[in-house]
Amino acid sequence: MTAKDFINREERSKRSSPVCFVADANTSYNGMMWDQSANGFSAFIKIFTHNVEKASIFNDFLDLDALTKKFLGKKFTISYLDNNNQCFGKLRECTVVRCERSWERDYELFLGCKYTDSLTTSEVSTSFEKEMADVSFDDEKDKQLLKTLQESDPDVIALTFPARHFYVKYIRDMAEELATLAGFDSLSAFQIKLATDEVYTNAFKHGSPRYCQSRIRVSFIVDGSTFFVRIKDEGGCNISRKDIMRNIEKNPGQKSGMAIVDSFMDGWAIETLKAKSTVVSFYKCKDQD
Amino acid sequence: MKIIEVSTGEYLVNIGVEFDSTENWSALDYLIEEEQIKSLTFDFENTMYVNSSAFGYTVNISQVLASKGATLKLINLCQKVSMVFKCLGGYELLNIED
Repeated sequence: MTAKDFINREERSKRSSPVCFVADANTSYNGMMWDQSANGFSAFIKIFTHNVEKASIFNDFLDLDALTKKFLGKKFTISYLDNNNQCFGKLRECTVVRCERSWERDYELFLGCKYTDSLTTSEVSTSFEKEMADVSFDDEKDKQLLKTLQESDPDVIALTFPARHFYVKYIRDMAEELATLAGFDSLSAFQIKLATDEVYTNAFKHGSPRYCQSRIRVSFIVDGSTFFVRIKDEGGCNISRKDIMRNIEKNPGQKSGMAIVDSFMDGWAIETLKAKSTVVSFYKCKDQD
Repeated sequence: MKIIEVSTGEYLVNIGVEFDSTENWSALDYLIEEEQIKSLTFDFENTMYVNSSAFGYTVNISQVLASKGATLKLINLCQKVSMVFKCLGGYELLNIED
């Protein structure tokens, strides 16, 4: 993002206008547009005044999980409101791709929305595609997950570290904190932390031929329901998922760190470019109950 | 990590908050190599995190001690730590007291 983008963003946010989210003939929510682009927009919406779900509000505290379930992925027709709260302008359909607690007074929720008729050309999608270029899953379930993740315009956080082992503490704690922030329960966040530790440690041990001159790239891709981690090293050890699974099965008594990834994550893959790089990717989805 | 001699040849090791390969294990290595040990107990009461490196290290210690006729016992594992050990096969290999 450039300085110009920031200025444009500031300009755009100054033009905040009242909007209305129409779910169906009987349900609509008023809000305030916060930012917009060719592909979508973000807005604050009022929950209390609409009495959305009594169960979602307890003693004036928002149950963000319940509200996220209610709004995330849902389609709305969006329109601007005039001074008399009447709709005007072109109606457009959008899908909610992010749901957060509002930081603006008088509003309870902040929604990130994507126009359903827009092309996927936002900055986020570009960085997603860049990060995921060398991630390859064989399983249909995993492929579908990637597609859904891409469509949700996830946050992509990528950091490159010199291959030093002491960074593992920082990286695994970051994974756990990000997962907690994304709404994962304590046990799932712990499992993500553990898997990140194991894969980073392998990258350091087996994929950093130049020690601290080598680089390990760690990417976290997060949306409302999935936590995806990708760790790329410079090793290029010629090892496949099949080899790893065979080793795990061969030593049922004393398993390797990849057994943790296999047991605790919902999917994982390894991609090797011989003598150049290895990318290990894994993900965990939020429990739906 | 803090090592306490409970009685002659019997040691209690208070494992720290995180038990992983960034920890310096040399004091424990020295103890196992040099001292006449009868039993060693790892107390995980304050431990919130373990990884596969720590697990592998624990299994190695257990095997070295067994070869010397000594024992290793693991106590006070919290749910998360016990989950990791279970996943890695620790309950078959180690003497874990839940």
